[in-house]
Amino acid sequence: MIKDSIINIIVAAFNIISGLTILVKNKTKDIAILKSIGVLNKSIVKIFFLIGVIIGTSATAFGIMLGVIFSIYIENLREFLSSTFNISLFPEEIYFLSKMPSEINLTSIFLISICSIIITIIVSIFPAFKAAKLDPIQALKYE
Amino acid sequence: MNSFLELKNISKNFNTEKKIRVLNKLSYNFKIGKVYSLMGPSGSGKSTLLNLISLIDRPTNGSIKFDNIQVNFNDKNKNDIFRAKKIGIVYQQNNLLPDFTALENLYLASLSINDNKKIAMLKAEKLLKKIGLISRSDHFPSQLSGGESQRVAIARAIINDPDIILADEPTGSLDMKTAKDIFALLNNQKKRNRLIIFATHNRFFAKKADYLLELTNGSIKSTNA
Repeated sequence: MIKDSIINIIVAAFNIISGLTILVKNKTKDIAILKSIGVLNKSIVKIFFLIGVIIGTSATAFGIMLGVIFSIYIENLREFLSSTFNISLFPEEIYFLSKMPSEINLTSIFLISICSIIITIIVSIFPAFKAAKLDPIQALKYE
Repeated sequence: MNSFLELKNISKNFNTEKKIRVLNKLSYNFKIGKVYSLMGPSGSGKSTLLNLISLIDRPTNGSIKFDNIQVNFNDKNKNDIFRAKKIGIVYQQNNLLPDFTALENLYLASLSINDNKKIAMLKAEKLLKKIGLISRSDHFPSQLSGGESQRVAIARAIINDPDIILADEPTGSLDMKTAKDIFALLNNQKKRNRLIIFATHNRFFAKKADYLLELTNGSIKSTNA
């Protein structure tokens, strides 16, 4: 379970890096305008860092909420899918399970949330600094 | 009248595949309370010169002094603060942030010098009223005409009460009537004892300045307009 969580967090971290990098690229001209009106580099870092943290934190909260709901109603979901598509999902005679097993472990939820938020904060720094380093002249000239 | 902005032996080279010298030992003194028009063919270095004066770019050689204080181009932070407080910039087009309303575009510039949001908003509203666009304060740049956008851009340039206004072809993409209105708004800033430098291809507007500067071969030739 921990191994799966680590893989999920790494994937999420890469998603945040690529998402923010694309955002910085799309907002090149806006960053140049902000610089031209005297907005400090540290403020630009703050803007993109905050975006990363907001995305990461809200995604963590949303993911946990969805995961908990999924865990609680996993058996209902299995029954619903089986009846809707007229198939036997995880049949008892093969899997030896009378119902889908699921366990909500508060310690795991807490640890995974903290880890993903910390990783989000760390990975948001790189695109934020990239945004601050943009050359406003090039951006205004070529955008 | 003492010079407020002093350019001394300014050279600017661009090292692309070939080394291009855009400005060549350019020296000139600008006085506060005067309007200067900057003319010259495309590629003559008008925008480059404005970028150097606005401290967005740095010269290859030479020095710039504001009010007798020499600019240290290594101190980016100080120069950014100086630009926010003392220099207002207007570009030809698309110089408003597209995701922000006219009002937000204005007060963002004010926030850059540490004003609190309430004061910044009040200042922005007052300026929008002054330029006759208060009814458009909630409109995004895409909902404004070219002339209206340019008026908002000029308002943004003056919101922090700068000493210098730099305009890079501010009327370039506008029809003659709108261009005249924009120019009048810009020219009006002279009364506030500001130094205004604008680059233009339009000789009609260039001649309305106190001084007409021609950029040729990387140097300035000045005439009283």
